[in-house]
Amino acid sequence: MRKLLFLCTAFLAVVPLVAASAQQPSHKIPGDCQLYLEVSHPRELVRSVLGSNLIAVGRSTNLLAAFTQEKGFQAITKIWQTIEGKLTGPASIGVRFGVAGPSVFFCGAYSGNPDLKEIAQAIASLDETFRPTDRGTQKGIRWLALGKAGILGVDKEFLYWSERPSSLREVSRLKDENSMGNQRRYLLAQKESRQADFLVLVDTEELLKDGELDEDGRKNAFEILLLKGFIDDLTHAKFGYAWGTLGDVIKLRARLVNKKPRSKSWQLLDRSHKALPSVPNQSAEFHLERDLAAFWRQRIDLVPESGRPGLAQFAQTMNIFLAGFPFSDLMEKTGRGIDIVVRESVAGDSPPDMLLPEFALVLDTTFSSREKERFMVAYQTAIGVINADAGEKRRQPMLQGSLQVDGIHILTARFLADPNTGKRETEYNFTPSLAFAKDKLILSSSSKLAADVVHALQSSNLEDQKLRQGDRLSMSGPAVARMFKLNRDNMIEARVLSEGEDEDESAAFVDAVTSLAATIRTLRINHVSLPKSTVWDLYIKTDSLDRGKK
Amino acid sequence: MRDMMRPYTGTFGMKEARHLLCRAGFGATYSEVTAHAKLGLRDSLALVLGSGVIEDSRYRNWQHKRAMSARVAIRGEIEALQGAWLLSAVASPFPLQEKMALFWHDHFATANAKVDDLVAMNNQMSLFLHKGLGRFRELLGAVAKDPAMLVFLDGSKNSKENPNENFAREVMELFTLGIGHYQERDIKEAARAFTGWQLASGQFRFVKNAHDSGSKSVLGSKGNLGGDDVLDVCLSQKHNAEFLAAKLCRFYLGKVPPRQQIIEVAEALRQEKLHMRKFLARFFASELFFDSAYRIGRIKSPVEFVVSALRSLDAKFSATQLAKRCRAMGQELFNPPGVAGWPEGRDWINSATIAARYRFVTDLAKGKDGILKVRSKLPERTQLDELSFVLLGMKVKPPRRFDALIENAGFFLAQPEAQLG
Repeated sequence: MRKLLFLCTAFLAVVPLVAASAQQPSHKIPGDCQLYLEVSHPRELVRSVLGSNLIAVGRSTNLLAAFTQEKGFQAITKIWQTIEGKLTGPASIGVRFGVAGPSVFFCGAYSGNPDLKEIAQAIASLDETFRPTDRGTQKGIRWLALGKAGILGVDKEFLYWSERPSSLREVSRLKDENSMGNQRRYLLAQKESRQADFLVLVDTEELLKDGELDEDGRKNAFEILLLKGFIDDLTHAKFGYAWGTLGDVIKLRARLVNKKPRSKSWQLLDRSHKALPSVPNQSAEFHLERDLAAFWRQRIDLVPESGRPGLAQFAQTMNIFLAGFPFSDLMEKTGRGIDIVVRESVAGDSPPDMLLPEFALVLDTTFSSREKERFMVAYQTAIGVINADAGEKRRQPMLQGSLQVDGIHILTARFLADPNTGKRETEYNFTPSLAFAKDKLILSSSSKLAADVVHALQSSNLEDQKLRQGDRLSMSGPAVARMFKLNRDNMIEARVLSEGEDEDESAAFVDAVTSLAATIRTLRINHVSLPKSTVWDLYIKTDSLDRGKK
Repeated sequence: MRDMMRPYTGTFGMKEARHLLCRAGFGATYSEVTAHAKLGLRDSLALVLGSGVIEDSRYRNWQHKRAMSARVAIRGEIEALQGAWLLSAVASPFPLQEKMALFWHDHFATANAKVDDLVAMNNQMSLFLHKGLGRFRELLGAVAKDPAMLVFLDGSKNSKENPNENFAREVMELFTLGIGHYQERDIKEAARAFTGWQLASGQFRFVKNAHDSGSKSVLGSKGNLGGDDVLDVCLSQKHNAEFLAAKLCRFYLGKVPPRQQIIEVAEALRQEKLHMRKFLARFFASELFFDSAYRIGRIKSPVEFVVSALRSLDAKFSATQLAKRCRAMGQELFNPPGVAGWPEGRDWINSATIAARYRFVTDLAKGKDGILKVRSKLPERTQLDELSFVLLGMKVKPPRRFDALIENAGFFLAQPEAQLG
């Protein structure tokens, strides 16, 4: 999962900053390079990355952490200052993941004096740490070690740099005609990306061979339901490539090429569906096509042995709550559309410790009116059980209530105020609510959002809604940024615990991610599964992104 | 026989500095060991005991992690609380304080499995941190009235109608005297003295009406004894210092020395009036502490192993993962297996726990759950020697296939010698 995080972060960090026009590359990719990024104007790329705060986005990844560590970062800056202006043509950045983390190398077309002395002297004068040592010649490349700065090489055509001496062997393969395993893939990717500004080629098979993703996706029923289709895409992919065009709207397209047909028993569906009407101040909507009834029937095969008792317990509890209406029968009447609506939360009377967004789960169902009633009773029973548990845990109970919106009855509950402090349990802004409207079951963390979803459904004609296919996520960057700002302290703390970082480092990461999110006006993700490949489309509309000018 | 508690007069070089920093704290980086070796034993010990100037950012970072423990305790997340304590031990500018807190957590073993109140558990750990290096009497008194301890040993239900012997028994058996130095009737009488020590709204309260104010006889002392009187009586017994001396020796030396040496250590404890900081200042500067018989062979507990690995390498690791790894290695903080605390020595190592140690080492070297700051672009022989020295206490030549320094760190930590310290 860490490698995936690395890929996503590297992708997000690099892509918005590249401004380039397509040019044919003239150099080759090493056979075992696992991530390859090609850009037409490396000067602008590297300049942008160094000059912007986006470099901090990468603090969590091994690669960018290596860059940002004081010495390495300075070294890259200084090397760049030295070679700036001498690169003329296309350039590539390659990454190879090893036991000791990723090793990175850079290769750019070079038109300067192939004598390294000039560059070496310039670098040596910058900092005594980077005193150069001539390391000789290998396969036509003249190498120069630069202490902790990495290693620099040059031949008649290209200038090479790698942050780790062990990459010397890998970079040398640039000269080896027999190690062109990636070349065929590159040519294939290039066909589709002729008009693109950049191209990223990823050896997914190699990256995911330790099975981390597969394992992550099978921990529990919820994760399987949510992620398994996506993870199957990745684990069944031989390789992938992404390319994009940059402008006011950044368009990215990624294709995963499968090595074998994916499991037919459980995969993402691409049925066209009607969009859910938006609610006021909506921050994001996530849509999933999942056949819940089929999932329930296949749960024994889909869920690992360790997760089955939990699922059985859940079904048994639901049977008790439903008192006579078998839960499995209700699951048979669920549809395929699953929507998650997210909206910014508004602070209540007492400022909450953690201002999570409000969210609502909207499921297609074909419940009869009697089944709907029993489901609502089950909800009330569940709140009663929570209250019984709250007594043991010395927490305040929840008071049940209801409201009417457009003739629809919404069940809700709220925490009572603490009699000693007068404070309410506002930690999660939790007023869990349930309603049925237009054959959809709405489960919301907030009564206000439930009311708005009900109103949106009741006041719009679903048949008039736009038909859409493959849309998975739409998100407002500023809304996400606002949520991050409100929860800054908690996010920093969570990161200190999960990453073992110091407070300052975590704060830098959270602030950088918040800044990045704020620059994205809208983000839309579309996903289509084809027989032999999967295509992801990302549309990013940015605000004032100051590309390459810093 | 010569007094082993006499001041150490041998050389204080790199090996001795490493020995001191490993035992009194959780290990150190090569540069820290070098700095301590240059200072000499007296000044080095002064730093270990916490009298040096601490860098502001380091102090702030540590304080942040301590404050974080309180917040995650309120949220009831035990794994996060365990992780936060481990992080604070890694970041602490006062490792001796953290190490003694770990010692007292084992000595006054209290498990959240029964207490079921993380705030109380965290408060108890704070108590160990704040009073762990002070007078033992003060610490014992505070622990005896600590809400977590009262719940754990059923002291909170102690009334004259129904005196609870559990707490009184553990005070004598596990906290002050050890088995064989008290009679069953002493426990029954002491239990009467502790009656009325109860909890109200999660805080200690003495309920006079519930206290048995009759005459009691505990360990030869007679009168209308209260709970504090019983604690004083226990500490006045000559076995008390020997009991504590044996336990401290086992913790810091890895094994219990011969009886004569225990008597000498106990005498030092008595002379320092059971003031832990003063006693440890003498202990760490003694011939006994630097004796070659105790320099090797002490097996690190899981907490010591992970914290010392991270401190020695200046590395980072996910806090919640650290807590999980310690549990897999057999030590779950805030949940010792029984009233007697955790097993020690060779009991830490079995086929399951050694595999868990290796898994941690592998993941640490891979940077799977955190970043190693030790990362270096050009591994050189001198750096490998330094790494080998801080992790193993000796220079070991790693296999040639390891190129990056972090891989070598993994190799060194996987050696049997890395489990010792």
